[in-house]
Amino acid sequence: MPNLYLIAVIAGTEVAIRSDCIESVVTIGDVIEIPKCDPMVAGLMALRSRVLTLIDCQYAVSGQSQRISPRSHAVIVEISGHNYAFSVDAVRDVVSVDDDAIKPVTRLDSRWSSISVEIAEIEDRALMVISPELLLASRLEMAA
Amino acid sequence: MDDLREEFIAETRETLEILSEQLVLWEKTPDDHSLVDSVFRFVHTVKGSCGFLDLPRLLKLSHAAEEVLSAARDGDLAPTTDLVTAVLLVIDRISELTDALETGASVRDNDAALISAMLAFLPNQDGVAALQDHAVTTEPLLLADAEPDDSFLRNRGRTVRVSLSVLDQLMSGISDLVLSRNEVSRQLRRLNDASDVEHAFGRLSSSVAEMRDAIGQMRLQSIERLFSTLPRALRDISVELDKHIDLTIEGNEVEIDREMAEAMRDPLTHILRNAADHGIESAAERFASGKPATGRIHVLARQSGNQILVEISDDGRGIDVEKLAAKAIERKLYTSAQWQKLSERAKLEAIFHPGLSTADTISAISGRGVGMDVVRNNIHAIGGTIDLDTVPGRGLKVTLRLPLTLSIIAGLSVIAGDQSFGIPRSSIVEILSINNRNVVIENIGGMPVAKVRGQRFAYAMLEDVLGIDLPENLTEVSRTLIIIRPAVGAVFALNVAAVIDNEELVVKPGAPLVMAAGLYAGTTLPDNGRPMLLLDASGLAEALGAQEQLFTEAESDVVPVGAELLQQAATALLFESTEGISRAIRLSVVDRMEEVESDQVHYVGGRCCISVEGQLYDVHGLNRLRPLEAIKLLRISDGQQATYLAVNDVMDIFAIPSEIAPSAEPEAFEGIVHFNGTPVELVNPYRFFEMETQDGSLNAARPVCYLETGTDDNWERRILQPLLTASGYHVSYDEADRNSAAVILSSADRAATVVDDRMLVLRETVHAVEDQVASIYRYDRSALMSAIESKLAGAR
Repeated sequence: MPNLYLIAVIAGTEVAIRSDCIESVVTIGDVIEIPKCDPMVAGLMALRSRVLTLIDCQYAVSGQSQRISPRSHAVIVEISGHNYAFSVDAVRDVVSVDDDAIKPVTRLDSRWSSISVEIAEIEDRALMVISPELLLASRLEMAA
Repeated sequence: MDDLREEFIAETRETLEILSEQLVLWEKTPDDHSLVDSVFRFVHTVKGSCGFLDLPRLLKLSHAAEEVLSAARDGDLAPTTDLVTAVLLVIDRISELTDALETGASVRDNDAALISAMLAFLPNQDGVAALQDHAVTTEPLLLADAEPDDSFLRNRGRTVRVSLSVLDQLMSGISDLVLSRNEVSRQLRRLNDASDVEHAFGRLSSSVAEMRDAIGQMRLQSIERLFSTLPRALRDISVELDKHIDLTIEGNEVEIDREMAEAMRDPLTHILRNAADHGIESAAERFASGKPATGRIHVLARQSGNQILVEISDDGRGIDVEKLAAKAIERKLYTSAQWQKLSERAKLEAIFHPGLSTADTISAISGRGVGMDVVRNNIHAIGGTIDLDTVPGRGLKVTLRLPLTLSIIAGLSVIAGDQSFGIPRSSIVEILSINNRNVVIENIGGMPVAKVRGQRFAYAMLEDVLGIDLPENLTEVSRTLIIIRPAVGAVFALNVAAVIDNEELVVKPGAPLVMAAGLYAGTTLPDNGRPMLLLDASGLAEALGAQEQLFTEAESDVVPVGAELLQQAATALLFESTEGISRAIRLSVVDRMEEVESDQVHYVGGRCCISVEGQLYDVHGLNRLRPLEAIKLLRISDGQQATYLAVNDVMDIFAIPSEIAPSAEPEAFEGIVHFNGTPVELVNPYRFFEMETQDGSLNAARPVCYLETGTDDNWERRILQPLLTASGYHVSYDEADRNSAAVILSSADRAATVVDDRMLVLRETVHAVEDQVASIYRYDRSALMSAIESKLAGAR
């Protein structure tokens, strides 16, 4: 069965994110910093009447904070009742990927391995499938 | 019990609708076992609840239906049309009885006929006799019998089940509405002549407030519903473990968001299980360590500011940190070197690690290690935190701190660096200028301490606590000190760049990663559209190291706001009076500002009063009560007596210029002063006290109503006394008070003659009876009250 995947760039690497967990993709506006917070949290941003927690995806994989400019994009996802915005370098495309083309991941760099467990074969390329939920869970576990 | 019954009714009614449909489907597809299974399950549930709630008719019906369905499920019965009709008739009767439960209507009892009609289908009639203990009536079985009477529908307190997401939508809608209302009110204040608009705006405001309350109510329920399941859960556990455990519960009245209560159910049960299983030792072990054989678990809920605290404490063995260390190292979560470096708290928190448990043996109840991590995740998911407090050998206390979801709180914004943060006003004791003479910053043992009027508080700059850069011109700017009383921990002083704006904040729980910082209570979106973090007073206290024992504090330490300024140049508080006029009052007489809901203010004895800690105080400046609105009150004191002045808003504090122009009404206004070039009246505080009684309270001045009663004084005590007390009278049944009473109330059958002109006679009939005494119908409230008032006037 085919599913739609969003192709985005995180830390210079193209990744795929399953679209059914994505609410929307927005440009990042004003970001309010959160002092003494986990460095993976870039801050808070407003989207209409909601407050979103902005997650720095680049930091999650590279340990380097992303320079977030007002034109950067973020992927909006709701996870266990909280609204998150995951910052990405760029958004490329939305593609349909068949379930057969999703393979369990074999070998990944340690940073990526905690946030991705699958590979999507799209045309002749293999992209990591990023799960925002996993990304958060791995961080929370580390914090604990 | 009523709650349970309501829930039963709502659930049963909902399932009944689905059930009828499934029964019909089952008739069409007799091979579909899942259908008959689900029908059976439902009937079984109803039967269980009926037995529990002591509803014998429903129990009998559902038991019979269960019997038949069980046979059908086992394949002994085929679902013929007749069988389904018979079952449907029973289901209809169940539905009728459920409705009747609510309306109190009676339903004709021919249940036995229905039951026997259904049981006739059973191939094996053995059990039937037992079920047919009623004489079988020969009434014809007609569908019409089962049809509900329309009149039931009309007087039924009808309920609708609504999904929580719709409620959430409503709630955030109303939150947005409150925010835009605030914005409009700000804009309105800038307009000069907007009296027409203001009138309309007032109406809008009160309906918004009304709606907000109603929606808030929809989401709230008392925590008792959650707690009421605990004794049963604990009983089962203690039977299984063969331990004797006493459970005490406190704080049942605390109100909690429905969804929150649901989300807490599992974690709470789990913590309770852990306490019973791991915490409480076996009787022999307890005896050996000098504890009573019966273990104790105490569950407590209380609301504190914008948080709900739930504490589960036991007097068991506590968490064995050494054992935890061994397990954690064995499981390679930490090396022993790493473990040594961990703080005590971090060590304890290892218990939250998935798959870690200190239990030696895995019992059926807990110890599988799939507990505490799940508990913590669940608590985090609803924006709460969990803390452990253990004394080895003495017990463990688990504290859950939960936000009031989507709650609207009164908050202040404080500035640190170039960022603003919200802080719940309920936790703020006092705000004063750092340059105030009463404020001294000391350094004790390397820790800064703020000394305010002789009291010492742990002290820090907010920027330092948050790790924000301090502004360079620090010495030049006048900063502000806020004294904060957290829910947990000691009162402390926080130095902030400025305190701005006073607004209603719609607080939502922060994401777990944000809450993990331990400093924030949630996030909010003020009118300016920039998200703001709400500071958690308890978290700040902890970051400051303001522990409970560090500083002794006096009990009555509600320190007056503004009192610090009066030693300097005379200052005045600029406020907008309830008439909408800007006025000023000397700050030296103002104790503090309080905001109360309008229902706390009562109109008695021709004036508005407010009850504060059991004392009644006058409220000036209020001519009429606007329902459901927060009222801002200035507490004015002459040093001994206090009174309140209602204001629309407090605008500014300014130094009173040396020139005060005389006023034409010196009793009301001390004079006219200039503020920013505009003349404003300086209120004369004298007038607020000149009418006060000596002891400053209305209690002593309450007129006494003596109630003359016989042995049967139920009506007087239940009905009359509350009415009189609420209207400002002191009620007495004591003969000794008869002489000093201003009014004597008696009933018509007792008072043969009116001997005293203070006496009022009440009768039980609406129409005047032919009697020698004039009397008043006892439920004619207005006649009664005006008669009492005229007697009072006569007595004076």
